[in-house]
Amino acid sequence: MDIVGQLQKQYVDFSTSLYREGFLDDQFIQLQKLQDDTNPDFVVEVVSLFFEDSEKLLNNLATALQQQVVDFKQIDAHVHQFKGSSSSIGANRVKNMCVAFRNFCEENNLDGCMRCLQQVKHEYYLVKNKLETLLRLERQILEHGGTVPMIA
Amino acid sequence: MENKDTPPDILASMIRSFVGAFQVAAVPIILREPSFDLTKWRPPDANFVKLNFDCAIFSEPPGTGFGVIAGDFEGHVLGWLRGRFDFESLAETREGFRTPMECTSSGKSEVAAVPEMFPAGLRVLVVDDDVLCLRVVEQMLRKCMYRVTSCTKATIALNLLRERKGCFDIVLSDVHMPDMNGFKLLELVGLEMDLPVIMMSADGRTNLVMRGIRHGACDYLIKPIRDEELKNIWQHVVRKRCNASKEHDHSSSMEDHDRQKGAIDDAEYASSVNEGTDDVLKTHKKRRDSNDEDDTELENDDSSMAKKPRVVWSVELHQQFVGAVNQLGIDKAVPKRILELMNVPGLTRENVASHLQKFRLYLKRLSGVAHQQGGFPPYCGPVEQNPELASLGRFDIQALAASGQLPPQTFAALHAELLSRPAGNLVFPAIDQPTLLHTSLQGSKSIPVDRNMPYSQPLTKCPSSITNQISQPIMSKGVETNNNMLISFIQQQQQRRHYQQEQQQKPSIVLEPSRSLNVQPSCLVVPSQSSANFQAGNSPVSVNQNSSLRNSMMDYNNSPLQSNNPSERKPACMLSDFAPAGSVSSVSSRPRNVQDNAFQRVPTSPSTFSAVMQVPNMHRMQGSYNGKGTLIPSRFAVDEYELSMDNASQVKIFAENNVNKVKQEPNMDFMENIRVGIEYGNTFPQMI
Repeated sequence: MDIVGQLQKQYVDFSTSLYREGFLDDQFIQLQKLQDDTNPDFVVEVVSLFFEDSEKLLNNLATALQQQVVDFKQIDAHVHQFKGSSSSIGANRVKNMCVAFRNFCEENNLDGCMRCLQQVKHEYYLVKNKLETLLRLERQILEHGGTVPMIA
Repeated sequence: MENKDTPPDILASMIRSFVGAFQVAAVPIILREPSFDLTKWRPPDANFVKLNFDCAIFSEPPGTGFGVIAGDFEGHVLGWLRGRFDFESLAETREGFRTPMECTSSGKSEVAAVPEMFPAGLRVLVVDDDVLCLRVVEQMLRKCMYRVTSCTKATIALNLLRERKGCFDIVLSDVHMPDMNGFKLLELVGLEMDLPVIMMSADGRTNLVMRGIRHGACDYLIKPIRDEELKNIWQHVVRKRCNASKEHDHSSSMEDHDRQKGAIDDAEYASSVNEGTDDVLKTHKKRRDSNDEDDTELENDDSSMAKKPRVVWSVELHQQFVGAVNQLGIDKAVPKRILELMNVPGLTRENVASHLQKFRLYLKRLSGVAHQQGGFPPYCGPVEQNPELASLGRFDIQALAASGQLPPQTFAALHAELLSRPAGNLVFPAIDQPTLLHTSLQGSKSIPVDRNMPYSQPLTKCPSSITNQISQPIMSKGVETNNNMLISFIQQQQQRRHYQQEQQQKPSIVLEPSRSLNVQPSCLVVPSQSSANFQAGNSPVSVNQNSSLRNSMMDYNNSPLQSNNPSERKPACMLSDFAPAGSVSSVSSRPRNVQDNAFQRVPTSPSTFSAVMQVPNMHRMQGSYNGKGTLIPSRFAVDEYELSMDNASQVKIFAENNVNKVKQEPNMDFMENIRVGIEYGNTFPQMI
């Protein structure tokens, strides 16, 4: 198999696993479909936006939880935001973690929140890694003159 | 002529010689064919095509430029014309001035395209502080062939909506935003612009969704949003328009409108507490004011679930409402008294209460904003603004405000986005012109069309922009002397106006603007009926009396017009302090008040003039009129009618002035003969 073929197979296998393991969901496929000639870098653009937003939110969350007096409403707002952006990109596990996080916020459960923060951070870095790999594979395929297979 | 079969060339002709009145920057202008016999005018037949006309007047040395754009209901430009008139050649008469206007260029576009493309081209405004989500939704909407404008701040979105009324079909907004609660934005949009609003949120809890619906959202989408959901949003636009046009057909149709809100507003009203307990009241207040989800809200909903007929606040209705409020005084206006004054069968106190609530919020919001900016409540109520602002006619302020508070670049971009029509040498100063009287209209420069004629913007224009404008002269730099004169004139007018207002009932300028713009001129023109005529095309205007223009002018002039201004010969666009004062009310039914109000303002100084305008019908206006009674329409519609009408070959601009001189009217060859019908069955005064 030539290099393009190999890359494409790698890409398909990797993608499929991401969906199977719940890292990404259908929303990500929607985003890929939105990309077209008039917006050729759409996916890269939104993924970058997601990374930026998430870093900020995670920092804010960490800061908020370290306050003397913890403002759970504020934390809830951040988590809500995070949930929104992760669901917009299709980062499924991150989103689910946000849902759990919000429950702890509503209960004003500081411990629960701290743990959730760690978990959500963990999930975020995982999916970040996966997305970077995926996009890199895409780039490589294109660089070698191939087309990126569509995952239905 | 069939509705659908307007050949483009006929259309172009009609545009070129439309007979109508419009007011720009408080300069009423009448365009009319010289041979047009006002006494013989009759309303058009049933089949006619409705157009929207946007007009603008601007400085174009050595004279004044004038432009008209005709568009369809969707906002697509169908044709345009541009002309110029020269004040030096004004002919003064006892009733006013006339001046020929030469048409310098015109154009037309294909009429066809739009309807077939629908819903493609739907103009969507998306508001979300989450940039990622905004980008995704934007892209999805683009894929649906919609025209998308996105912004991250609710305040910017509101400004956009106000500045560019009629430029958006639907709004999508996130619920949780830092600068403004999404529900609040929803209410404001509903109140001011009557656009369908769809809420979006990652939070899909039932009580939040319920809140959204109660605040008036057409739909509530839960993130992540799928493109199939977005594909269907056009139905909300169509539905709203269908309801709006139904509203036209039945002039006081009563359908259920926010009955729930009405009931709740009612409770919040001190005057009576239908809902009962204080707890309920408090909960309602909480619902309104706070962001918190409140489970008790659901209970309250259940309690007031009874179906009631919906009230649609048509333009006429709202006018009556505002008239009543003005009569009582905004502070003393209670629903019961308002209801009595309005005397509309079938209208309940709850309806009025709910509407009053919204109206007050609207006023508060406007004055609140104005306050920060310098205290100009655009609303035509008691004049409580700072003197400088007050001195400008109410809607002058609006005009100014409208005319460009945003930097040109922003609007250029927006315009490019929103107006894909060949504007050609469009005259409009457009929003990005700092003043209406912009001097830079060159032939080659394509001024983006601002569908909302800036000056004709109703008072709802962003108050903040007003303050920016207030300090600027109305005229562009090239016309400084005019400005000074203008300002001083305005200041004079203010007192006069103040006085006048106290004497009269003012339904509210607020109401009028688009209407008023349309209306007022007509008021001016038409001897007695003025008001009636303005009603948008739906009601056959009955020609009431046909007093001579002279009489009307007398009335007009009777309002304290003192020629205090030093006489300067420079023509200026004057600020007319039109106080529509209830003049524009429903056509046939209430001819009262009309007259006096109609002829309100007139520049006193000989050097200033106003062209009296006959108002084009308000059809479109009604369409875009926010049923909730805010002034909105950015354009006035004119019902064109059969081209078979006269072919006078000229259109004259009539200027009105206190000075009574008589002069010849030159014949102008600038416009075509075809007359666009104005749908009010009145005869126009004989201007000369």
